[in-house]
Amino acid sequence: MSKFVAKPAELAEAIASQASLLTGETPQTNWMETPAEFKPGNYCYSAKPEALNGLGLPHAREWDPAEADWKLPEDWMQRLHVGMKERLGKNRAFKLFMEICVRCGACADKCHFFLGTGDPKNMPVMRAELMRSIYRGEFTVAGKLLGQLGGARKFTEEVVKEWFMYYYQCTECRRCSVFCPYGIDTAEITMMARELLHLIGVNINWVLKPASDCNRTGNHLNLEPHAFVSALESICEDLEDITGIAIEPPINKKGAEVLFITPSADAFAVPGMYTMMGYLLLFKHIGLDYTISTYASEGGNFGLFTSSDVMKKLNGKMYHEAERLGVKWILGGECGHMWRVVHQYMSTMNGPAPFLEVPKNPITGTLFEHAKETKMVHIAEFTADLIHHHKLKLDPSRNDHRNVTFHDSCNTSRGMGLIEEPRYILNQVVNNFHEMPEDTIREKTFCCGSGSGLNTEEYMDIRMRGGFPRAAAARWAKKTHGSDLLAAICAIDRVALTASMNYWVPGMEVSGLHELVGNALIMDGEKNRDIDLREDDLERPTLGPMAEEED
Amino acid sequence: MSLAQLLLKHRENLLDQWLDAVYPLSTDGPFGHKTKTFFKGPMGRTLSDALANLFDHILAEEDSRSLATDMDQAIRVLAVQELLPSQAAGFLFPLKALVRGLARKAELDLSEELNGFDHLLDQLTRIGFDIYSKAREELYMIQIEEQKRQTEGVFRLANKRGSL
Repeated sequence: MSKFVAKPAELAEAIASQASLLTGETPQTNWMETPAEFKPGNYCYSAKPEALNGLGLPHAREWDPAEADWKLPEDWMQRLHVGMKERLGKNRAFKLFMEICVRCGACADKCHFFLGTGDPKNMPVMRAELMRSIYRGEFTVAGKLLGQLGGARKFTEEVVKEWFMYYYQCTECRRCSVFCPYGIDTAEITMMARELLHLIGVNINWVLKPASDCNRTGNHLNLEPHAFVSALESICEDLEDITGIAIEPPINKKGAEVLFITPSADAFAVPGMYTMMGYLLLFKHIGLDYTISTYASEGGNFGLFTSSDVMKKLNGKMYHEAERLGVKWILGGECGHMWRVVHQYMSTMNGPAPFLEVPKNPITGTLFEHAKETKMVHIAEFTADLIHHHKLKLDPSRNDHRNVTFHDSCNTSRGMGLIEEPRYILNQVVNNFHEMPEDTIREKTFCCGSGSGLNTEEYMDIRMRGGFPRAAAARWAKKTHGSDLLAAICAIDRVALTASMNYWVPGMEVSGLHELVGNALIMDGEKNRDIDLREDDLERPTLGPMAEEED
Repeated sequence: MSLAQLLLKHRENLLDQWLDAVYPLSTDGPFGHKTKTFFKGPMGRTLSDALANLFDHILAEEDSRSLATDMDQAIRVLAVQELLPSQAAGFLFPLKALVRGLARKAELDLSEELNGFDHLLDQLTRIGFDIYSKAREELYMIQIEEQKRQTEGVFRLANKRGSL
């Protein structure tokens, strides 16, 4: 705890109490004069020079947000001004969002960071105001004339620091946008802010390193092709031990019908690898002609959290690889932001893809017309279609040792409207499935608290605060229904929620949707399935409602 | 009037003032403990519910087990709020002063009962210190576990393949 234990002199000063928004004390100064304070636990580490160099981003250097001097480039102000002007010119939504907010406040209590920190600058309206005030001061006549009276200000180093703090205290989850009567997409404002900060070398390692690694190896975990194959083989060995079913996933197979792309965490990390087991069992079960690529070995795209250019580049490999391998269409795994990129940006960024066909389920004959544009189908849509046509042999009682609740990932629910399919599947593969409270699911779902590249260890305190609303809902499900498993269709969720549940809701584990599908699938030639995919006993006693009293 | 009767009579007022003293933003905004919709102020409601339960359980003279559960709920929230350990773990102390103020105002001589009350809060604060330490240690363990889960795969593969 050393970093939280103050030295005597510091303690005396702190007790004399300097106001800080994040401590819950009400500052005596106007918001424009209340600076962001960087303390261990409330900021992410700065990006290492090699990550910037790997992506060709400017002003790579070692720097520390907690120090006064951020070593900004000499012309930083000019870079930000020009960068903002350029983006206002080419992005109409950005220009509109700088102008139209009426400050009704509908968004204010919808942000998980505001609910979890109580910091007024985390109200979405206020987060946007951090940039609108600059927009007024730098680009409008009224703002230039009236200054602070007109809610306008100019770029200062304090503004840069404030932007860094609060645009990396937004997970781009877009819950606020659901409630905004004008449809202002605050996530897009955050995206613009992060792009602008890249121009002066202000960025975080947890976003840029995966993005840079993905640029080099094709995946965020920096797995080179042989390591990626090894990871899959290792999963298959475990899968054979558990089910008796031997699977050799086709790698880089030319002429396969379907290219399957999922987050690399599914190949390597716990609990994602159990989800991968589920996919592999499913494909074997239906005899799908598919392939997995060692180049397009990442569904996720940390470019979304970086800039449109990086996002476009990292996304490009999906179509490149689909064309090279000669597949007909692309099937995508359980990932959150991958689907925001696919659904909202892929076809205009890197499409069209005339070498692909409109996806058609080879088992059911269903034509996925909604995917005509991108040629890409979500695994939940695919599996729901299979179940709907009775093509899967399922034994949901194999999940009876679990009491499941479902977390809608922000990007799939709000970003692409994928709401019913996962529920339809859950109701077929699980006998004990209960929803969390209505205000916290579907399009109103709460973020895991660590999305958009914020799931880094040094940021744990803020993650716990931002993740609290979701955790409180999960806790409710545990208390009310005895839920002990939180299923999610996003790789970041699976990691972030594991941490959040361990702190706020002990006893609540986290899984992917297809892990549960894999448990329930009755495979031809399987051995007696007395353990689940994580090798837990199927006879494991279940928790009843209020079971946490026994913790 | 006994101390218990005094506490019961001024319950709402005391809880409001206590919460204000524990966490200044608690009374309005997202920490608003009075918000009817839980998910419009989940953190404030969780904290205020914990304080209210603790207050009621103290009044009902319940055992330390149920008191510790309420303490845990309150301290888990406070432990991630960038407060000093002393501020987070000392959240019971403002209640002492508030109760004494009430007794003085009501011109009641409750010194004997108040000594007992103080002693109880002191004992609870010791438990609270344990809970705070445990909560912070858990957070560091969660960080370590997160790292371990990432490297676990590397070693798993190395063991299977015979090299790193």
